[in-house]
Amino acid sequence: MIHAFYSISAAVALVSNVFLLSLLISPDPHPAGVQAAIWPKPAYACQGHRTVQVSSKFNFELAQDAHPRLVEGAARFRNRIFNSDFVSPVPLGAEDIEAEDRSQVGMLMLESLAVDVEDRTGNAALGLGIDESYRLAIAYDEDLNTEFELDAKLCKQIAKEPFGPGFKGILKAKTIYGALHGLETFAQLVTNNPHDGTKEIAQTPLLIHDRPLFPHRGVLLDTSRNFLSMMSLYRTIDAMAMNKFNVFHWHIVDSPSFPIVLDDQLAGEADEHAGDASGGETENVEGTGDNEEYVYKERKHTKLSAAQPNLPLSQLAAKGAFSDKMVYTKKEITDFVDYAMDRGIRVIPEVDMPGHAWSWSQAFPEITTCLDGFPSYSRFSAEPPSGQLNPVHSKTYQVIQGVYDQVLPLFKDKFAHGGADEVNFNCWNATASVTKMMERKHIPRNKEGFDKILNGFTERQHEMLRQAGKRPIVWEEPLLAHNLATIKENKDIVIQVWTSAENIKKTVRQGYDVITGSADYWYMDCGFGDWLGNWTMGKSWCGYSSWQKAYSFNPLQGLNSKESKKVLGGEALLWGEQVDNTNLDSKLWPRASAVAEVLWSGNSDDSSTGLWDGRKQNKNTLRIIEALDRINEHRFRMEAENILAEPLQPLWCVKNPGHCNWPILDTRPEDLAK
Amino acid sequence: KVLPENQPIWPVPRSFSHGEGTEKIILAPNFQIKVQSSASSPPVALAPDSILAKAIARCMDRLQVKRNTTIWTATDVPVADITETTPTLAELTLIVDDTQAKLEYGMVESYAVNIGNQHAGNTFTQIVVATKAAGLTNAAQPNNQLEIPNTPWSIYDEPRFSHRGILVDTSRNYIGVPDIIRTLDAMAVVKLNVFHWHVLDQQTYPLVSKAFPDLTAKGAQTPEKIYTPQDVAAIIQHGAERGIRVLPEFDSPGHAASWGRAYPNLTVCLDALPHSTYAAEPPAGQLDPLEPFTYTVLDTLVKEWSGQFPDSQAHVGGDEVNMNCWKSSKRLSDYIANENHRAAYEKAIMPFVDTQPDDTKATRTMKGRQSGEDKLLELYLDRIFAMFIAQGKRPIVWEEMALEHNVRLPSSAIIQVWKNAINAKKVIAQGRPVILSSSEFWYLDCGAGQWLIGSQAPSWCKHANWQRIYSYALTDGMTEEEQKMVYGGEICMWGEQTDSSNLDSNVWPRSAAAAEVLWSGTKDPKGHARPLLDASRRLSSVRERLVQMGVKAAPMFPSWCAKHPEACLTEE
Repeated sequence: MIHAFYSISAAVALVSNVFLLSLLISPDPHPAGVQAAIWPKPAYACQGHRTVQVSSKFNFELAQDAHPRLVEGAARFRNRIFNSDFVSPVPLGAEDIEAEDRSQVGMLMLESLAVDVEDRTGNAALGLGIDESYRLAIAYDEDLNTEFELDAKLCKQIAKEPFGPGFKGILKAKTIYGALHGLETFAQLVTNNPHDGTKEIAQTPLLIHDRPLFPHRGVLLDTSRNFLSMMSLYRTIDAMAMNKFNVFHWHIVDSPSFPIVLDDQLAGEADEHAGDASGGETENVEGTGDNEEYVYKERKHTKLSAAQPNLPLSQLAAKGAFSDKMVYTKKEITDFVDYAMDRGIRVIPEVDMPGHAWSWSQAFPEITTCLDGFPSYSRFSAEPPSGQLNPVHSKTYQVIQGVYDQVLPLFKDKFAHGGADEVNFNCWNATASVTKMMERKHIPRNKEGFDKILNGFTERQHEMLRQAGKRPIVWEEPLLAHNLATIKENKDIVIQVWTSAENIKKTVRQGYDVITGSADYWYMDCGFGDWLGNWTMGKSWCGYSSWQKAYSFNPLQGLNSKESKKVLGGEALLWGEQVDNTNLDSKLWPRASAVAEVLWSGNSDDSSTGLWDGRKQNKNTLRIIEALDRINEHRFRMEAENILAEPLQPLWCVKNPGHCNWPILDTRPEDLAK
Repeated sequence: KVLPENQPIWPVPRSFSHGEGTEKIILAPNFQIKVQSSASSPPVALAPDSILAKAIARCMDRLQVKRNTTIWTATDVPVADITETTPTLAELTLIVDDTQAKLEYGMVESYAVNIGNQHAGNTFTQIVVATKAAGLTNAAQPNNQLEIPNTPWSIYDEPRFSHRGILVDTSRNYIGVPDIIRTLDAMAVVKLNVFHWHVLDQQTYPLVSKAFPDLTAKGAQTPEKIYTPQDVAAIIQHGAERGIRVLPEFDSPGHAASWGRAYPNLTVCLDALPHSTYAAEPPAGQLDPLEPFTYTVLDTLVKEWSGQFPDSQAHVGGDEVNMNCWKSSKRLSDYIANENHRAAYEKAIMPFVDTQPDDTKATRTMKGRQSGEDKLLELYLDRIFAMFIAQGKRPIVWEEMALEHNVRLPSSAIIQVWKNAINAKKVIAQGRPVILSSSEFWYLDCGAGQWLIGSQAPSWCKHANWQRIYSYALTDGMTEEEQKMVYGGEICMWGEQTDSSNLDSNVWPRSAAAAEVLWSGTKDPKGHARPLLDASRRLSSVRERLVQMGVKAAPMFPSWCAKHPEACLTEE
């Protein structure tokens, strides 16, 4: 029923879109946007009808003291442009070069692109909300005022101009990260002439003003369910940069494996952190005969007195990784973070806790509870293997502190993800050390009681994160399911909503910044059937999201303008139960590209002005037909860069735009125009 | 009875026995394989390019790979230490009854393996008795271990079904020749023996014809995305060396828009809109059965194909014929509607076939009056069947020909069932044999969302995970007589959303689940369903083996479950 509803309503919206478009822009079936299929679509663009050739001596003109990140980036893009033999299978691009013009005045040559960055030396740190805008002009000198402001008059004017001298390319950005996005757009604009292999840019003069709708545009990969090689992660960064994503959310540790190689911690090593990090008093209580130590924190801002013991943290990976090859060393992680930041991508780590923690148990069984719940794991966890951190054991916090001390500094971002999804109270309720402590403290063994326990854990965990200079992100449950006091008291915590898009509103109304990307639209792993081993009828718990479904999601749906400001962005999430190096690319791309465009420039066009303003998208219509040709081209563009993105349609459809529409739209745009 | 955890053979052999203790054999460093025609005869000298010699060389290569690598998920089963007295296996003797057996439907694929049953000091001689050459490729596979635990081993194996296939669609999206070659390699690992090559369809005509090169020049998507005669020969040869038949599909008379790119007068309703009225998917286009030129082309193409593809069967297509398409032509709608004009139309194409297809036993699929539409279809079918049968090919057609049209089919025709599982019995009730590919179980493309634009709807059919695929009991509810009419099955990789980028991970390891159903059946010899835990353990091992070979088989579950399959069950 739900599916039927979606398809009908979407189809109705699209029909009206087709009619509006055709009225405005007939007879050209591909009017709006830049001719080479820029993905994600720029916020504003206008262009003419001439083709310019990119000289073989072409170079990027950078300031003498340009930041090395920009210098290397420009070299990378130059290589990409000149090493590529990619020719789009989508018949949109450069083939409309007017032969008469060529013979009359010869080909216009673009010799360089001047890259002008306001923050020339790259002082602005890569982080949430950094200016990523850029302005790109390939136009006549005299048309360009200093800011080459875009207006309808200028757009009209450049469309009519004849060939002539004074043609130049300029890229302006506030930061080097904006400049990198501009270079990506420029690289996408340059196409290979299929006849002689020369590099060309069609539909010049052109002006692009571009900036993202949302500052947090992420991809989540899960390296605990199945291992992903460094090569797969690097390739993902390359693909993300092509889609102007800027956050790699690394769900690095979960229940199945602990793949980070840490060093053993010697006694006293961590004292300096312990002093202020924990902020909680530990109350040591005699055990039940197992010689266990129970800890429960009641008061804040008091010192953790105990010195840190020896902690064999190396054993977390030695015993908790799938094999000694399926691990990440600190060097690999820091190199990777640098590689991502070089491409304007922040890396945010998530060591999930206190649920999803079986993998810690192999090295530290004493800090985990309800392990190996089979055959009743489902009482204790969402999926096997079950295992949570023990919230009442002081060693738990020592190990977390030890892990954080080594892991968090590897990631330079100001944010760290604290996890906290799917904490299972049955697990703790079946753990004697937890329940005994609760009895001593007269904490009821009901939801409120366990919420209190979870609050104590979370408060302490977040203090450690903040001590390390990190602002916490958590999954939605601590707020929406548990209403934790420590979340209520700290409104700067970012909430990542995942169970359903409806929870976005609930969260922003409570005043929190939100990261969207819920299972009903942006879970890229859904729909591949139950992976548990004895259930032949098993479906995934969530349905497959085709690129069209992913593209239809508007993170601001139903929010007022004030609420909209609390939406930082979203993520395409690829959980790892059925994903590893073999199928990572095809599961993620190009569907995540649909997410990228929604986050960069929205999914709708303003058909009344011809210029498109993503902020007004609620009033506008889904631009899925126009997007199809671009995403088809982008898929092949990614494939040409060795990213094994999967096909969305038969190649015939790619090559025959407008002919593979859902039956209700089964009419060619050019027929509609008649 | 299940295989020991350290011998995860897939598909499971028909019958086997092994030592229950810790006894094992290690392969001698100079281990070799030789061939005899009987237990007492001297070794046969094999030509280096013979199928057997190549199979042995491949087996030795795989042993070498195994020596150098380990599969990380291998279950940790305690095994005895190797000591000085651990026996070694110096030699494997293949006893092949018939080295000339033809690769075809119904060929004998059985084999027997005996390891460690004959003592000779510390050295064992392994005796393999395989009855026909085709079985041999398979016989070599379970024994690729460098040490063979749980000796002595005794295996007798033969397939439940003779037709065990994968359909790969190379028309919706092109699949590169190396990708097809790799698919054949993977098929051999799980004893699949039919590569159903759905090479032509609405969207493209990538198979180069010598007689009509324009079919490809204008019907392929790009000049590179084609199959040359050399490519075809290489694919057929590669399959034959692995006991795999390459079975091409000459999909007609529907699904033929791609023919019209070069020869528009071969087709009717080409690119007609709305496409949903005229075809199952865009672009619309069907062959014109009243156009004499159609038969000129077909006659030549069928001969060319028959020379190219040696298999004794040929798939003739026949799916999703759309009568709206034909009726959009004045001539065809005239023929359908007006009995008086038929003779005149038929006369125009009479020279091409004036006899019934294969024999006098050809029968109509239904009783009662035949509609004008079906008369037109039958006109076409009589001719295309006759052409293939004249070339010695036994025709296969999709189920619509038997279940949805009242037309005359050759008595030899094999029907491929795809719409659902229960249609198998309906076809068999007509006395016709079947190949089963129900889309409820064995369509690998399902579940990836609607690919037509403007819909967020899910696919028309649901994703089948490996367990769903594994549960397809082909002959459940059939009498013994009915079961004999089930020639086998095929798992289908339709190509709308699949090309080289995701072929492997869409096909594997799920097709291996179908392979075991087809080779071993869904039940053990005592009639019990095979335990999924055992299957999951063995299949995850197959998956790792495929990945090691360079096949990008998708993971079935978190790697943790590969080591702890017993903990990754659903509670019931």
